Amino acid sequence: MNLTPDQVSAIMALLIPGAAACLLPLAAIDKDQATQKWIRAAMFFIALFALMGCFFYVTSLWGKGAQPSFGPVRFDRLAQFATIFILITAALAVLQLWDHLHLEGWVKGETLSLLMFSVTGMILFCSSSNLMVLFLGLELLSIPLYALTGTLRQNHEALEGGVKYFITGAVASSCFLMGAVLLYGMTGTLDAAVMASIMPRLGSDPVMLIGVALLLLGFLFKVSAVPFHQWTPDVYEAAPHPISGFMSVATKGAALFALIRIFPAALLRQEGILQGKVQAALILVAVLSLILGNLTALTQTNVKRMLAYSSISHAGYLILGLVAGTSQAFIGMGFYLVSYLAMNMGAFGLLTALGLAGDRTGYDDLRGMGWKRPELGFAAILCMFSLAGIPPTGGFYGKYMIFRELVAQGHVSLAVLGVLASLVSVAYYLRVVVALFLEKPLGATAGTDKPHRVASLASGTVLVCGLLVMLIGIFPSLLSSAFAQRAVQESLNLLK
Amino acid sequence: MFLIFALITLLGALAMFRSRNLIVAGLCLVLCFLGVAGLFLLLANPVAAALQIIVYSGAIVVLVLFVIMLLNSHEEEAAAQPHRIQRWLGALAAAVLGAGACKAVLSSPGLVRIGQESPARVMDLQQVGTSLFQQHVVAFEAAGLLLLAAMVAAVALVKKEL
Repeated sequence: MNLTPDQVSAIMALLIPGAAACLLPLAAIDKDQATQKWIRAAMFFIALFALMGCFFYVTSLWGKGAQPSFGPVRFDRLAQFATIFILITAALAVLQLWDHLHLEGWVKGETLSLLMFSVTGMILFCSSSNLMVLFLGLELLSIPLYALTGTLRQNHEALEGGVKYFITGAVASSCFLMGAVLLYGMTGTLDAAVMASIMPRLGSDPVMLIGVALLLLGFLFKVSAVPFHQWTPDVYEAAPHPISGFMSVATKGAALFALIRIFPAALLRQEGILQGKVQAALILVAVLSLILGNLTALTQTNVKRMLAYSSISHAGYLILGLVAGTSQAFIGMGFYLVSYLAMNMGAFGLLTALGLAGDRTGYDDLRGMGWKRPELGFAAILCMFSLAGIPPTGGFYGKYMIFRELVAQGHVSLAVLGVLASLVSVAYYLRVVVALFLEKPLGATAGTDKPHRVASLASGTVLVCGLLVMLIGIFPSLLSSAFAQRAVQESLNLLK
Repeated sequence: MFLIFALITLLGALAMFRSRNLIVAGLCLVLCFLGVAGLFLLLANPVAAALQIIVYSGAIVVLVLFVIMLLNSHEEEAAAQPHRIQRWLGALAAAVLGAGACKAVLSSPGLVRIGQESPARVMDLQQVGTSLFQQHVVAFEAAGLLLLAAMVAAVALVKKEL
């Protein structure tokens, strides 16, 4: 088999994180990792180096404009955009993990290895339209995440969260597999793009409808949209903060990029009954996510649970983009996901950077922290404003682009609901800011303040995230036209 | 023929659910897998049937039974409080889903069309090999990586002195 240089680059992008994931357990065998700092540093270096190597290959492909494909893997612009998105999230998570795991006193190389496996799975998940490869990618990204949730296994909540995630996730994965099998049985092909051309002939066959519904369920579970959201708060609370951030950003991103690839090709372009049904289901899911996510987030007392419910509501906004279904809306989704990366990794990183390990993640623990570390406080304000969608931050433009397309497509009431939902969300995001700056620390916690280490790497990532949020907000056209637009338009043209 | 194997599969699965003794449940699982192997034979795929018997009913179930015997807890623990309502709701939901699935399959024109097509050719080992290593090589490699990931995850979760 002869491979062109572009194909080799694409294979390397998939291979490097996988190879690093295989290498890291070998480095972690060493018993000295608890005592020797350089061994731990070497493991984190391997992980970062692998992410950088993968990044190099993908950006070189993007720079050349090459869109290679081999076998069932299509490494087109959309896949490259998604890969870069996942790599940046993973790099931020690795940097934050260094500080978080030291705070918890549980620095293990296996954690990094699992993270790398998950990254490989996500890249695979975003770069194929073959249902079997998609399923393997889905499993490869989720099985490490189940274990990562329970990685701090000395406390029981972590294991409980891991088991909950595993059981619900296994059900969702098997639904996805069943849907894929039904569609394969009906159409005789595994490729979603080919499937799209056969589907109209089948009309409204009930078995095919069930297949599509089950497939959609698998995706929406990973996005944590509302009927399939129950695992989210418990799991995010149980997992280490950087892993929660990685889960909320990268998993959601990977699932949505895969949806953008599969669904316009396979489903939304079809006339008739299927399009109407899929769209109705998506509208229902989006509306429920917006309402339930936002209202439940209001009543939380724990910042991580609040962020979990807020991530549910953000899933709602993003699915509204799918409902609109135009390429402009998909560009908006790509834009929104990138700003969501910056603001959510910033929000979860803030907890690590302030040294709030374990279960000290209530609003009370944040009190007065903003004055102690003003630079972090300022970055946190930016991230929270962006999450709430207040201009001129990145989150505002993402929502604006999606809502504009909704109105253009005639879904005015949905856009109004989205705006109302983001108004509600201002209340709970500002509570974090209020706790950081306007409330005095409780006397009891100030007295027992143990001498915590300065989480310099995590603080750095929070500052970078704050800066990114601001830059995206000030120069929105750069990201949308230079990256998101090209990713969506060139790839979807390829699929047609 | 189909009805016999389908009944074996279904009854095996049901008996596995109902039995309180884990070892009996494991043996019922073997029965269920044997039924599935028979279904594969009917679908003109002897390779899959052989693999199903060797790997699933042979290796995996034996491994599971070994673990159960080693752990020495054959009886299922009784629940702290009996969830009667949940049980009935679960049974009702399963019945509704089952009825819906039957209705969907019976009313599907696409399935009828597939049934009228000529029967599939017999799949032999060589065909399995070529399709595995040519058409599905990426999926094959990804599956290998997936198994490794699952192993690392299991070690990371349970090893005593990590």
